[in-house]
Amino acid sequence: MQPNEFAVETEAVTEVGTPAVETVLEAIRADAVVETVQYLAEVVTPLGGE
Amino acid sequence: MFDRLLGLETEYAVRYHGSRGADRPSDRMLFERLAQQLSERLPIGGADEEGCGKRGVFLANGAAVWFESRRPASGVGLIEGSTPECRSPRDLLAHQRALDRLLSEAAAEAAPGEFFLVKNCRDSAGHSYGAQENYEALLAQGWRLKLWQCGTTAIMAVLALLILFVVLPLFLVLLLVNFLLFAVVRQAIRLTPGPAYWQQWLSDRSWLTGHGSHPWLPAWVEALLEFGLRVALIPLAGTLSALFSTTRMARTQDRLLPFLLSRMVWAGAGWIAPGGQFHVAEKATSRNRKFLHLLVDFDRPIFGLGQFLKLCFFGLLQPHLYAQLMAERQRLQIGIGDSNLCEEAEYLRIGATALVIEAIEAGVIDDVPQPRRWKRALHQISRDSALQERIPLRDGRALTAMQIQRWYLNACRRYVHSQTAVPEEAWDILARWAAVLDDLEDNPHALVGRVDWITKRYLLDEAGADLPRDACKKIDLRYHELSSGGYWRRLEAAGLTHPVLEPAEIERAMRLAPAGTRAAERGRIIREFSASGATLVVSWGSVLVGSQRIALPPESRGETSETSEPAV
Repeated sequence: MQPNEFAVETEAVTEVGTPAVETVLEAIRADAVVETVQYLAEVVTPLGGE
Repeated sequence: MFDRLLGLETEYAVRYHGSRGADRPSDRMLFERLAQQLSERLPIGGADEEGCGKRGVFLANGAAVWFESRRPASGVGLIEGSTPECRSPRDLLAHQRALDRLLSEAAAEAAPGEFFLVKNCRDSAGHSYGAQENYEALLAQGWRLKLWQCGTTAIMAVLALLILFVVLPLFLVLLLVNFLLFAVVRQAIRLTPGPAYWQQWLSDRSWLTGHGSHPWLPAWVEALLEFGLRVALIPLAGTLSALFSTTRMARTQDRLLPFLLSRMVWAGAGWIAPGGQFHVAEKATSRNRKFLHLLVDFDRPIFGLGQFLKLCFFGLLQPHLYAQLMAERQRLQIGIGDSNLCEEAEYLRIGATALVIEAIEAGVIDDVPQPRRWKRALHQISRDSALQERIPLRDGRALTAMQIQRWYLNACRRYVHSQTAVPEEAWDILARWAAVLDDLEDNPHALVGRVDWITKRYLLDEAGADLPRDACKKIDLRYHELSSGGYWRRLEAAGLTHPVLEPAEIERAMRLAPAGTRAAERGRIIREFSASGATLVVSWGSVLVGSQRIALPPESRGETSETSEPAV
């Protein structure tokens, strides 16, 4: 017998929109505007890669 | 099924945040500190720098970590992690996650300042780097293999002549010019270096490998040499490409192409382009070639051929690399995928691609929906987060990326259903692939935490609304930072991401190489001899313990023996 191909369980532990997620989004929003230019300058790889 | 070697190479950007006024250590110095920290976590052995062409270390879990730089003497580069050779997508996912964790933990303690790794494919200036995928695949058989063997042997002969009569003289001339320049400068500032200094200047290998604190060849000479070598190699690379086009692997790549162009709808990591437009994938629009790889700086192919040129080059001195170049099964390298943070996207990227290659080699996938203009299709799909763009095909039809994905999914389903012995993992991959496509059409919100570009888009909509463009760009970049401050990691800590693996699988992969592979034997030797104080020089195919070379057994297909737990 072949296994059921559609039996994958992909439920999230936490749902979008819950208070725990809202708290994280608030923290990220606050962090995104702090030392922004410096952060962008720190993530530069002049020679690229591959 | 899945009876092939799989591996990932991931380039991590370096982010260093030092105290104000203090000098920033070079990326090369940060790599050395990282390697030191890794050695305190698990046994390691130094890489064979001549054979591998760069500074690196091999870990007891089969992985390797490199300082990846086109010009090592400049000190500028990336940290590259290579997973061990794996035999199943799930194993490979576990080892990639283990590498992410080992490296991020080691980086956190490796420098006096804050040293972070960023697992993405574009820096803030748009430079491209990141993930490479490797799948063992059939190169050629019969007369095609003979043609390949004769052709590459001829290329190696020309390469040897080129090195002897062009590169070496150029190198000596540059060395002399540099020596005279240095002597003049020294005389001008009245400094007399001692014998030890000159000895280091004339004998240290650090200019080649980037290892050591005093590169004796200045960066300008290195850059000039590198450029000269690349230009000199263009005709050989062109010949190699033409030779490669006659192989079965080239045919496999051709049939794989529409799948790779369209898989970014679930495998893309999302990116804010310089103009502010949101793309579903980071790397896609940086690809400027399909097959040909001329090794120049602006060269960004979908399929790499560089591995064959490297084998031609290093095979001149190492017979086992020459033998590898002659083999009928080789590494099919893909350079179009993004580095994923979401486990499900990374798992599917490996698993679905392996499945498609399998079906192509079995002859099930043949008449593929080939885009009329692949580069235009790449740009169309990348900037279309609504997933509605129709891609003109060679046969006159026009399909969306989603329809092309459905086409491949259905072909793989037919293939898997026609097989008698199907591993559980194949069903799992098919099911996840179908579920992700369904959700993309019906309920994209269900993919937050499972597909990177959807997760990043959600983050930008919810946390980045009304923020200046620079702040949105910071969200775009910091999403990928492997630290507790990284945004994906914060979402993970909040439970919003969907793990595929059990924590125990990652912890095991942090210690042990995958069972039944050459990497398991390499890891065992490193573990056994590193504690004895013997000098280890490790490469993918052998380990030099002191003066004794231990050749690792060639990979045999279908092996499933278990790796035992280490005694200590």
